[in-house]
Amino acid sequence: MSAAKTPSKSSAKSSARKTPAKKAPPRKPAHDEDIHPVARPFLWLVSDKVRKGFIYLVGIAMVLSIGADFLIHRHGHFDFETTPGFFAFFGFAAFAFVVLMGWPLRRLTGRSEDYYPESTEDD
Amino acid sequence: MTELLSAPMNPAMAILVAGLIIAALPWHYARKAVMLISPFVALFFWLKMSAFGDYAPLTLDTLGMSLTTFRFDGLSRIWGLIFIIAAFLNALFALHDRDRLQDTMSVLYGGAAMAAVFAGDLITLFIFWEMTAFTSVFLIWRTGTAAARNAGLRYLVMHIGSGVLLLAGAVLLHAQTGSWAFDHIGLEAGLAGWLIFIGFGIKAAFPLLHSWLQDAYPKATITGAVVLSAFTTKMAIYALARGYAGTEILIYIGAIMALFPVFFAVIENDLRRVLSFSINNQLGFMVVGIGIGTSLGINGAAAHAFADVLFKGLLFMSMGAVLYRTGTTKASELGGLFRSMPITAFFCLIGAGSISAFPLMSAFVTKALILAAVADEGHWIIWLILVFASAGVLEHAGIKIPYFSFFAHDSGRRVKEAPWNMLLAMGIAAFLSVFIGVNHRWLYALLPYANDYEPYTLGHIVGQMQLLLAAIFAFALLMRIGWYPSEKRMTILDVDWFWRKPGKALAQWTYAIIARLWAHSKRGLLHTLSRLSSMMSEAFSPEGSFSRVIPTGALAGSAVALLTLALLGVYMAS
Repeated sequence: MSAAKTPSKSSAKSSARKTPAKKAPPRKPAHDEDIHPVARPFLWLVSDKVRKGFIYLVGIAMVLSIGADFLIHRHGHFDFETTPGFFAFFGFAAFAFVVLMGWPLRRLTGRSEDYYPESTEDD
Repeated sequence: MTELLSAPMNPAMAILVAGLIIAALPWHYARKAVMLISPFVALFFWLKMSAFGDYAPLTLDTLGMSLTTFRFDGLSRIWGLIFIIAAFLNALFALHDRDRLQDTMSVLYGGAAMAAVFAGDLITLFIFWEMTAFTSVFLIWRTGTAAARNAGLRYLVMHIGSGVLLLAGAVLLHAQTGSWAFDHIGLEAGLAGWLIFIGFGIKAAFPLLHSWLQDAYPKATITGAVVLSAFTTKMAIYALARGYAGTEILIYIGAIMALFPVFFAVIENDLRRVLSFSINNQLGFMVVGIGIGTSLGINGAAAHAFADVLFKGLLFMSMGAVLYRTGTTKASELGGLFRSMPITAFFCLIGAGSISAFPLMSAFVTKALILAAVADEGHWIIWLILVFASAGVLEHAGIKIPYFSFFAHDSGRRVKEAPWNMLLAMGIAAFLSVFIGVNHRWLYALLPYANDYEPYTLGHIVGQMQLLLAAIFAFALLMRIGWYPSEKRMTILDVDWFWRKPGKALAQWTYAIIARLWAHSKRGLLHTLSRLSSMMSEAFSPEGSFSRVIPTGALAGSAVALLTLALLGVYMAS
């Protein structure tokens, strides 16, 4: 099944994010017999609405947390630390940097799965 | 009887004896019962320790040394407790496993790690240090694949080597000081100090000495990886805290350790390997705390080690459950599993939140201790590196692990929820992770030094929430615009490439050259010998001068014997 999946993914890299979401519309799994009863009340978490709205939800929460900096005075060990929004800025930049460095790092260190001959026996 | 009950007993002994009993027990359920009960016996021994001190002295008159097999003090107390808890959780998680060898080895391994923590001298430490190596390797080998066999062998070589360095350093140190005691060593002890430092460093996965971790742990068995994640590296952190507190170079080593794995974890497809990088990264935080060496720094390292055993064990358990049910932990093959494993998903999220340091969860308190210790000493660059690494932790352990296995796109896999014993083990680990985050005073009471750091200030909560929310926002944004590197099946190279590819090629080349040289010299030798034998056969042949009176067969036989002897002689001489 992996063989069937891999090429479709690599051929449509840019739309890879959207395709699977369409394949599994939010309503359909509700009738899925195999869904665990505990999971049923939480299926809305993966509905298209929540998926699309998530970024706004987090964005608003982030703005609020930055706003809190203007209401309270954070004590810090260093001067730069007490700048309003310091942690938000630093967190965003650090996260984005770590993720984006993944591209060149993968080009540099990524090899095929059977690069080490012994690993072909796995799975 | 009451005297016997009140006498100080080494908790590690309970586990080690249990390991030996399990080895002898042929009945599955009896073994599991011993595995589950022994941590409670150990806990009983631990609880009844009323005073710090050195116990169970052992004098080896023939060798002229006296050993302290049980030292109970502020540092060994907390490590002893978390190892007891880990031993119980591991036994519970492995309840379904019908594997006598693995049961035996995992219990002996935990007992050895505990005994090493309670060791008061370097010889006892060395014995149990090595014992952790050759018991734990079976947890890797039992996977049964060629990859696991080879990785286990590489693991064993590095870990035995670590013990050898420790022993060499201990002998040198004894020559200098006349004592085998395991107290502060420091690099000022010269060569002895460096040897032990590197010996500890291998097990603590210092940069460039780390590859065994990412190599072997993901190839261990389902339960094996959970067991491994608790003991070896945390034992090494204990040893560093004991022997090298305040060693400045540790600050920089730790910062590198915290930093580099986060980059590799982004692109790694095997989620258990992502967790191995995560171990490496968390060890970095602890190593920095030890390098700072103030009471706050050591407290931070101890507290974070305690919390890490719980949340890292929890994350390994959740990935173990996924592997158990689906047969893979490759991110590219998973997704949407919360539909069929919602309880596992929930516990995994608690583990992810704990390691990412969300308020009310363990690392929010424990990592803050280390960061405060770093800031107190004015190391602002190191502090920034650690905050940077914290955002990286959120990326790979906080988001990647739960998101790509339980959410993301639906892989269509519909499996059964994890067995009840796995869920219970995860539940307890999750409960404790939150418990520590909420009742941090409880953990503080166990730390080596008095601690009054207050993590729940408004400023700290706001700052941490900013960091986490902005990082999650970055994730959502990068996913939305398609800049997040999608999961791909591939091998990511690490430093072990140097000995697995060019190193191996060099070894093969050397072997080929030696073989050729040997063949060449043998040919020359054979040539000489054959000339010799033809001369001899001319003389001894049926037509030859000597054959007239002596039987041919006997002569041929003696010629061969002579030749063989000559060959053997040459081989031995070379």
